[in-house]
Amino acid sequence: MKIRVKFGKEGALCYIGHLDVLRTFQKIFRRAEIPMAYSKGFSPHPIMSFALPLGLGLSSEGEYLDAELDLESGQSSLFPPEHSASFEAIKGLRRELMERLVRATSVELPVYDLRFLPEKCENAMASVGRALYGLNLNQTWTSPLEQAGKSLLERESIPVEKKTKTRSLEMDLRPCIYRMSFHQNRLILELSAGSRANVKPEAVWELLLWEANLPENLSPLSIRRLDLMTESGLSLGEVGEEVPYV
Amino acid sequence: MRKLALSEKILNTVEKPARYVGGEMNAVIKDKEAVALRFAFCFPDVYEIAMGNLGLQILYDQFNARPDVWCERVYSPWPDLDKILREEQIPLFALESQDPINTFDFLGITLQYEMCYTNVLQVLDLGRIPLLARDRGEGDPLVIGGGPCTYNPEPLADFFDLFYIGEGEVSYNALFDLYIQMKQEGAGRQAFLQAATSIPGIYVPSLYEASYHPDGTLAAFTPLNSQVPKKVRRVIVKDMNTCAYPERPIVPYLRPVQDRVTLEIMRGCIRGCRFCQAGMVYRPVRERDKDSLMAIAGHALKNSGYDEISLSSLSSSDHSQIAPLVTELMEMCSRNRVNISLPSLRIDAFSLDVMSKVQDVKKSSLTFAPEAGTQRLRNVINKGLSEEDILRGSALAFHGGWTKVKFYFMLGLPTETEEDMRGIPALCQQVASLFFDEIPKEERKGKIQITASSSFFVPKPFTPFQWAKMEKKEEYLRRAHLVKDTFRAQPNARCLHYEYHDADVTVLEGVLARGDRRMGAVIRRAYELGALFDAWNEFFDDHRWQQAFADCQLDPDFYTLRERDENELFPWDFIDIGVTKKFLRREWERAMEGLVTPNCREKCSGCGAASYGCGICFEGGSQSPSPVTADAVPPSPASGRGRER
Repeated sequence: MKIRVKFGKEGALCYIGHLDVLRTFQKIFRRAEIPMAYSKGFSPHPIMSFALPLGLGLSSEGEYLDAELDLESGQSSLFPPEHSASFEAIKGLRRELMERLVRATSVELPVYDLRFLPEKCENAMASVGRALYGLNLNQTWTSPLEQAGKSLLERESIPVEKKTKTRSLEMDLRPCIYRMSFHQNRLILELSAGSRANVKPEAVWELLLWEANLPENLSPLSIRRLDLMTESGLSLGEVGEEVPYV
Repeated sequence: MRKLALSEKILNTVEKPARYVGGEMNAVIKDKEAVALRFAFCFPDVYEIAMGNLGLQILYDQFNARPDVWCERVYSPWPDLDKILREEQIPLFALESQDPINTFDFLGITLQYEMCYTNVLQVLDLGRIPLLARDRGEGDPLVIGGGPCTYNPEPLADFFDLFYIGEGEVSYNALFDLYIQMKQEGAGRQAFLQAATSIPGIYVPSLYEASYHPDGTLAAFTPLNSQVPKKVRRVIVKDMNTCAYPERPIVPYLRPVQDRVTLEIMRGCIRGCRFCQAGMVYRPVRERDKDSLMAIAGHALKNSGYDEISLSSLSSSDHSQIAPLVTELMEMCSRNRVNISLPSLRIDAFSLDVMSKVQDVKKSSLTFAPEAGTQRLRNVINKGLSEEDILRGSALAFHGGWTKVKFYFMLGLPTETEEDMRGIPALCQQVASLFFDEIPKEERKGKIQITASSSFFVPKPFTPFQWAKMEKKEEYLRRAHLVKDTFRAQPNARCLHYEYHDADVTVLEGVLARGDRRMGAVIRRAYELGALFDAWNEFFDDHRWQQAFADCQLDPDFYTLRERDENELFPWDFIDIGVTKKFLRREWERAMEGLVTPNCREKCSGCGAASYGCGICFEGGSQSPSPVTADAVPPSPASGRGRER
């Protein structure tokens, strides 16, 4: 049985790297006594994958992980829903899983939601196409940045140089920006994310500074990831069902 | 949300910022206004090393169980943050509250190895606490030291207000009660320190005075007033089964060196190896029984979510219930997909059977710690592990499919000759030959790999070798090179690998281990010259220390190259560990005659630990304690101890 868990990163957790968060979730499932399914092979490990690693130092309220549970083995007090199970019984299982996860985690790694995924569902990592960020700004920069944002969005293409470890590539940033809007001291960015084209909010920020003629060492007060979406803009949290397909 | 002591900018600059933010699962947050005493527990090394320490977890749990006490943690900032804290003048802070440590009532520092001494000064310095105890005033925290190095606390005497000698479970409650009471009464720092000397295990260095003979040896060590005890007796837990154990260990986000539940199955060791300080200072052996261990293991695994558990003790095979314990643990763990790691198990049919079930035979290696290359020298050090034991254990292992074997040796042991040195490669060669003899070509599942590593012996206080002399660095290297060359000349040299430890560090460790109060100035000078993280090869620089010795006009050779006289007063003699100096001297003499002393279970040798009235000394019948001077050489006990370092 596959589930998708939506969670956040706050406070100290912003400084915990991706692999450590993965190891932490393995422990959370153990503490919650929710049995995971294990990979086959020489060194079996729990089957779990994350949608998109979050850069160190960023907080988030829209992270996702997919996990495969093993409720069939009878190792726990949890049981898989039977085909004839009532809607209420299945909702009860979801509630029980949520309660256990919430009890087993800490306030700085909050678990918000849990959904059952259909068997053939694309995993979170493969389905990520966009990410939504909120940047908190210092008031004095807001208006020049807003101007700069407008002029950027009016262009047909924004060629930038993207450096990789071995070489640098030319790419067009314009189609990667789905949304750039200012709300008082907050900048909302909706950007391409995932394996096809991944644009970090810091890259757009640099571009804005340059366009606004602001010193390049300015940084936003904070950057927060708000959600992850598919290519077509559907939140990863909307995929799947509150009740499993049975 | 908790406030953090470091800005986002700094946290985004430093390596592994998770070291400094706290907030781990099972970390304890309290209301600082609601507690009477705040304790900062420091392990003076980097986070990942420190968080693997069991003692810290035990005391953290115990202190925080008191509603009137809040215990937090603080570790050495890595050199990158160290630099930033100095430049930006940010005081060192505790992880939980992120408050500066100089606002605490106590700073407790655990001293696990000598090479962390400059890090102690780093923590005080960055914490804005005066380095010297005598410069501290009413507002400063009381700095208390504990852990294995307090069995000779004298090199650090200048920097600590108190030392705690013995097992932490025993006297801290009394110390905290006294502190809270005297604080409420408005008593001053000096009055508290004086009163604290009445608590068992507490040593206040400023209330003692050392004087020296013209030749530099200690002449007298005397309390400054009559209320201060002449001797400080180590305190120990009498019954391990009634003593609390952390069932909610802190679970770090960053991977610590010990990323698992540690299950301490017993304290002490029956073996009596003559070089081993732990084997003497933790006597007598006290076990936790199987049922209590199973309950602890179950709770700790459930509350932490760890997928591995490790048995911890000095020699796990000597636990009287080891077989049923391991069998039950294996049942519980395989149900829950938890791995078991079994360091310090003697290699025999039982342990090999267990290990083949809990680990991947092809990947894992077996470890023997013969410590010396010849039987003669093994008798000198009382290491009851014979060549036959090693060969028998290896043969069993080879038939079981293992192809990797590790050996631990020491060079520079008392009475060592070139024959003993050459015995190291010879023994390894014998094991390699055994593989080729025992396992037919078609059944060999991989190449045999034998790795031998040697450290240089450092005499430690409260061991029978506390009188021994050390060698110069050049002599250590000569011996290591001789061993290396002999390895190269072996017929199966290609399967044999040899590595040896750093000799500079060994000599310094020797000075610090048996040093006296005069060493304080040297440690401080070395710190001023930039010494820090000396336990890390990449940071250790012997030149700074040599400079510090020269600047302080102290000769390191005085502490290392001298065989101490039978009647010499040692700086640590004011500590009473139960085991008597008379027994240690008798063991030294037996060592010089190559006589083996039986282990505690075979026969009591009257070491003095029975004065604690507990543990193996009272396990019954014919083994009851007696002031024996055994003359006959008993059969050497079979013990191929594997161990993890």
